[in-house]
Amino acid sequence: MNYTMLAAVLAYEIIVIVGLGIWLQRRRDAAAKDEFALAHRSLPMPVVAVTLALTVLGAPHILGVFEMAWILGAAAVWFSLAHVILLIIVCLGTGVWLRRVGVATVPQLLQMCYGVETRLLVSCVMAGVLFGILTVEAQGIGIIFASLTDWDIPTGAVVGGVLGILYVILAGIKEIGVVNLVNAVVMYLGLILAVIVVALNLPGQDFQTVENFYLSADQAHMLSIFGNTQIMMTFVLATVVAVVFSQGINQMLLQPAMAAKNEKTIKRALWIAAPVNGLFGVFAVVLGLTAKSIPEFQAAGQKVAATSMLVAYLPNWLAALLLAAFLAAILSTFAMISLAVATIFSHDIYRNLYKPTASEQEMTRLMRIVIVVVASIATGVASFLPPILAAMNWLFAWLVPVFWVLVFGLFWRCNQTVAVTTLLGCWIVNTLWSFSDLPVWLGLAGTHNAIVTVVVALVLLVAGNMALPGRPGYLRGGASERADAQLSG
Amino acid sequence: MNALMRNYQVEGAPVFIDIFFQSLALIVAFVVIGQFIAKLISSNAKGKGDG
Repeated sequence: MNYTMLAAVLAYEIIVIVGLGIWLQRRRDAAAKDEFALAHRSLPMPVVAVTLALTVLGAPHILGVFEMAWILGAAAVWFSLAHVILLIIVCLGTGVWLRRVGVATVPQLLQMCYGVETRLLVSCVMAGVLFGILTVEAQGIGIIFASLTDWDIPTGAVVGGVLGILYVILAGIKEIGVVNLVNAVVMYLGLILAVIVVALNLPGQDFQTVENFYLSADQAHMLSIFGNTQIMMTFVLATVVAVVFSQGINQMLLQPAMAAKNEKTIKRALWIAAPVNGLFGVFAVVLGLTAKSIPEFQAAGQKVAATSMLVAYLPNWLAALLLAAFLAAILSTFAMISLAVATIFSHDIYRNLYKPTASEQEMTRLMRIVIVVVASIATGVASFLPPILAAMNWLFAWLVPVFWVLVFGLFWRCNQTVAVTTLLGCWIVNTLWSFSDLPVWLGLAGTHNAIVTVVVALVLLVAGNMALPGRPGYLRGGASERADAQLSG
Repeated sequence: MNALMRNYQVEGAPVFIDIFFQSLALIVAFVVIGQFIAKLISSNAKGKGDG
């Protein structure tokens, strides 16, 4: 890509992000409650929908799916379909519950169910997990810049990090939402045109040669989204469990739901969020399958085949549009994670422990500082680490017990000892599963961390709640009981 | 499942079209099933509350 096109992409990003950010900042009411973090709980349906869709559409959707399609074929689209199931859980379950209770963070609701210790434990771990994901996203931006331009990964990561900070720093979640709306259009335009141009470069100017390649290699299953039984039982099952139960309670995804105008807004947003997120994987899978079927790109190997093909086939202007499309996907995730970390720190640590009387202006200032610090560190770290996409399994599994602790606390019973024991037990098992020979000793090597933590969490929660007494679940009457206790106290 | 989905393949259409429409059909099916389950759970909860 030549420098004029690269400059055009960067100019587009800066104009859209900074322009909309300044416009929204001038219109906002700085004193309104939770204006920066939750847009005063006023986000309309389209903004909530696109923000939910793009928040969980990041580097793994692009770089990971290209690679997965090489190995698994069209079944790699289940990585995206798993995120559709996740969005259903959020828009009809967890997101609605959090919006109903009126909290600003997930740990805050855990305090209402269990107590302050659970809140602090989860906020520290969730912030750490989010930082880890932020590092992966920063590295993803660097890799994409390096693939489509002649920049190196650190330069790409730093430029992406600066754009990511600008994406949120001016007007918070409202800025992320409105910029997302514009970027979603660019994203799909870039993807659709890229697939068309790639098809026009193939013999016969369609995907028939791709189909023939796999059929002649006796790999018809590579062309089906259902793959074969082995793929369905291993990859698909593990991906759905990992994505749904680890992300279903993640602050970064639930924050747009908490900022929605009302519960109905979240439920209706599902009809837009699900296809916007889910169909992205189709385009990535088709590009990945096509790259493998062409000998010159097959020789490049699974990690760079698809991006090499795009660079070779796309004209400069379309490569620039595709870079803008990929940046749209990753920057939105980067910005939302930075805001989520800042919201947890400001609400669960600063206001909760140190300054309950902190004003809205003070909270906004603190959040801005945290965003800059966290995003800068993540960008700096990501630039000098080896590829860390593989760390995602271990990272995401940390949040699996939080999902179940919250569900049990809302609908069955609240006992803080059981909750804390479950959380600590799962986190220890998760770490042993990744960094010791425990899976081999148990004969379960290859079992996904998320599946293991789901089993451990359910066993500990069910056994603990049956053995020990506790208050009724928060949404089963526990809320009114607590309110009565507070009034009489 | 493959045999079932083969019924919904467009004869002679490129593989991309098949993957696109099969994925879209699954997305719509998941959303509809999700809403049905959510309604079932909420009406069940309301019933218990009324009782």
